[in-house]
Amino acid sequence: MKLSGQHLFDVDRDRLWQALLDPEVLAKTLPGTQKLERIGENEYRGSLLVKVGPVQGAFDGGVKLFDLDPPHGYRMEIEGRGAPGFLKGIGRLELEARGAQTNLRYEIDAQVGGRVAAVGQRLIESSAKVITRQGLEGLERQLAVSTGASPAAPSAPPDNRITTPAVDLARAAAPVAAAPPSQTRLAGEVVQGVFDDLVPTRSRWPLVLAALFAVVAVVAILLRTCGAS
Amino acid sequence: MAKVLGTSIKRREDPALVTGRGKYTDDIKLERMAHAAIVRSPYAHAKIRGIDTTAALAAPGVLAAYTAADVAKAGLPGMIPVGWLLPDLKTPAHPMLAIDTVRHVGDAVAVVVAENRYLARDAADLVAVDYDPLGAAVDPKGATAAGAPQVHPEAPGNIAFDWELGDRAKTDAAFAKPAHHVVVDLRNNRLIPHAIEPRSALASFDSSKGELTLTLTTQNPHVHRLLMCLASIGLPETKVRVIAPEVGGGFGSKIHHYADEAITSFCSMQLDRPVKWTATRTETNATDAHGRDHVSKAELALDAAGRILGLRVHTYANLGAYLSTFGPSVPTYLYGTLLSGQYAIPAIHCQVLGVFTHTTPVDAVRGAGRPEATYVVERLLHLAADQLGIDQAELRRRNFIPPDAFPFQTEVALQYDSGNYEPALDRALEMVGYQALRADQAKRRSSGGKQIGLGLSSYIEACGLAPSKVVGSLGAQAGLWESADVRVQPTGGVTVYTGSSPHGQGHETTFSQIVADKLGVPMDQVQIIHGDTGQVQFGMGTYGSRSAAVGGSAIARSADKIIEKGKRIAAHLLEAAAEDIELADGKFSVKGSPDKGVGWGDVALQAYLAHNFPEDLEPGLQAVTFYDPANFTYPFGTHIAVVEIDPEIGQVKLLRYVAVDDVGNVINPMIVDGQIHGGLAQGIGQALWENAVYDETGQLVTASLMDYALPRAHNLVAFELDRTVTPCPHNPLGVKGVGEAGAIASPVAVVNAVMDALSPWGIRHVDMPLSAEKVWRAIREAEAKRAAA
Repeated sequence: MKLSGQHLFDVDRDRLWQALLDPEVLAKTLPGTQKLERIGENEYRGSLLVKVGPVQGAFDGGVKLFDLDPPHGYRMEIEGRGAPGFLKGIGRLELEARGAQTNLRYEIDAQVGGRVAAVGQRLIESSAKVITRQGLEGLERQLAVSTGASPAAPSAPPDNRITTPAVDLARAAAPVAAAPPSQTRLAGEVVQGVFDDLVPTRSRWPLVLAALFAVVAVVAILLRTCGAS
Repeated sequence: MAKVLGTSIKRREDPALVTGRGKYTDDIKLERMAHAAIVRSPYAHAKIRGIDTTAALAAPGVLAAYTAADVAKAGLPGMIPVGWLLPDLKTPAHPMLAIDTVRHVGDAVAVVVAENRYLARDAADLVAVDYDPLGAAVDPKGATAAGAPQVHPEAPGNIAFDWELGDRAKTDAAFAKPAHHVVVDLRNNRLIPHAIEPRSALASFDSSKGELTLTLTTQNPHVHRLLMCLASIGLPETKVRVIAPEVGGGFGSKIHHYADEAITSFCSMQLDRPVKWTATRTETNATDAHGRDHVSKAELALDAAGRILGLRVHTYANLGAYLSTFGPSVPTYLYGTLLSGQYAIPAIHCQVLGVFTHTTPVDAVRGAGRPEATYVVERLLHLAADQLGIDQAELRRRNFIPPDAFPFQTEVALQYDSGNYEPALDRALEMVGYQALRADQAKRRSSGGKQIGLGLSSYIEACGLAPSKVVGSLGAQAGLWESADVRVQPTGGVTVYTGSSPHGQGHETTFSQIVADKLGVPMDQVQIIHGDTGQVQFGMGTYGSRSAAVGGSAIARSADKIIEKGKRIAAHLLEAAAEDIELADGKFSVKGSPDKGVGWGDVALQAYLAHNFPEDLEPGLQAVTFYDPANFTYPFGTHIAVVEIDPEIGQVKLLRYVAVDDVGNVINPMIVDGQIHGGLAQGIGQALWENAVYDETGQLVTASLMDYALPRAHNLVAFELDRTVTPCPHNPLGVKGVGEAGAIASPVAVVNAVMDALSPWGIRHVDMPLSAEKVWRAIREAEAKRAAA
């Protein structure tokens, strides 16, 4: 499974670089992260509660950063195991300064195995995309909190690639509490992701109408049946 | 009395089964029964550095957790043996719980036993296994390449066997300068068998007697008991009883001896409590032996007139991570021997490399080797007809073995006992309306739009496994006879103990028909006992379309012996000579004087009262037969599939399916049709939808029914069936077997039909399953190539 994308942050590159090395920031950023701690030079261990379709469970794992080139980027090796299976990946992050903003580009090549791969096959990619997107949005909020600003509520992405709109600091209001997104929100967004992947945008309205019609029809039938008896 | 043999009598099994009263293994609950959950490898290949069961043992309701170390400590052999040997076969050990290495996703690593199945499953997740992941070999051809990860050190290059059949020199000579040379690379897709009832085992050890009773989803309880006792659990057969209650389908998957029943038995023996294990659907998909998975290069040489000169095939057969019970026999004796099809082929050579990979073991699945052989032969015939510009039916006709050539010795060891191929082909062509469809096809080809294709499959199979002498001479070290013990009760009822163990085929009905026909007793007076080593003498089970031809023949022989004994008793009662007694309509009488007779019931009763029998007449009325067939049986037929493809989206739609089969004499036409229907659904499923897929790291990505597409009723059509009847000349019933015919003939009929529809694009071959995407891509590639030219 390969994931790649980019995200534009409204902070300068040094600030983003520091955040990306801070386990406390990261722990609050990634959905389902239960703990993350530094265990050595550029090495972190922690546990992550993951839910992919009907499979859920805790992964224990680690992240190792290497080829560090501050503040331009690093590569990382991710590894996690648990009852639902395992994941193993190699990733690359690149930071590019764009004036006061910083563009983060990422590429991840991951292997997933065990029950999470067996049962959740259809949902892995959508789940990974959502986890990544929520992670980036979480990071954005973290940065906004620490700089005393709040990002706009994340709007729906323009397409199913993971590109969230840049944060409009000018619209920032009061700081919000930063917490990792909940499992429920993750599940909801996975469903949304799968729907986005399956149904092209232009053909959604007829589907929604058809669904509505079906619901009305079922209700009508139920009412008539109950009324008759 | 109304005729019972050859009549569509409704299955006596069905009222209980269709109203939910059938008792399957998982329905059975015993006092103090505990539940096992098996911890399975998430990796295709890894070293086990350590296993920590501490957390699992501390979980609520957990009674025990065991690993390979516990099996060794208990002194059990702990191995899962292979049941069929080949010359020079590599037989690396298959421990029932992985010792230091896991070799496929789903390999058993540990087991947790708890008070209920939910606690067991939750606790199984708490077993911490420290794996050191290694690279995986997945594709059978790729696994033989230099540098591929090795599955077993005992099998260098991952090769378990290098087997050949036929005359290589003669075949190479046929290919030296043929007028026409047809070559094709074929992949026979991997299947997951998908019995509706998942595998289940309920082991109950009685320490006071040292006896184990194992209730099991099995197609062959005696074979399971034998293999368990030989290699797994260290108990003698005299102390083990295996019972098959209702079994909800198998398609081959419940023939094999799996680690799971040995593990469950071990748990029960350790805890001195009944222990049940039932597979989840995902567990089933990752551990039931899979089917097919061949990568072949197939060639056909023909002369200018379209007569076949030779056939050559080289196959990589995926065996998976371990040798399953019959794993080595499927891509060899059940495959290479069928490569002559219905044709007189003067030279054939077949080489098969059996390859270990880090995937689920591969073994018999409905058809077992014969669908793969039929696929090779009939794909080649189709391509040859296209290449030579000869009509599909005509090329087959030109090469059929003529009816006067039987018995026919093929170049690949088998001697076909009987056959008459043209009438089945003619009937199929007539039923489908061949000429009219060809005219419609020509019209559509000129007008564009949706195209139709016709696919022929003139198949043969070798059924009635297996004549012990024949398979012995081929190098197998076991024969497959069948047993029948027919006991007439003093009140005239008949109890039949058969070694054929059904799992949905309707044996109780058809076997009763055989007995009722022979003895002239009403069918409801016949009781069929099966599936219990505690009741039935040794038996070989149900698979390989063998139950009617071998098990039924054993019953018929025993019934004949009963009649002989009955005649002697009647002769005594009637004060006549036994040679003068005849049995008609359930009554023994003296030839020529039908009024002087004695009823079946009187004979049965007197057999047991026996107070005034002469000295040379033993009491009792019982007969045992161990029937070993003289040869395989050779069902054949021609199937024709008609498909429509939409070139815009690549969608294949099955329009019609005509099947004309010759399964010899028919005991129950309705059951025969039902078997054909089921086989067709599976074979069409293989051609169009079913596919077990591993990624390059050995993860099974089609592990659930979300990702593995089984055919549904709406995907299929109303099948058009007919039969020709060429009785088997060497068994007492003239029957041949029907369980697999549909699955053997149909995949290639459908593929040939799709290729026929695609021939205007110059597309010769696309591998199964023929998904819309694959067909669409093939069309686009062909159009791009044409545009570039």
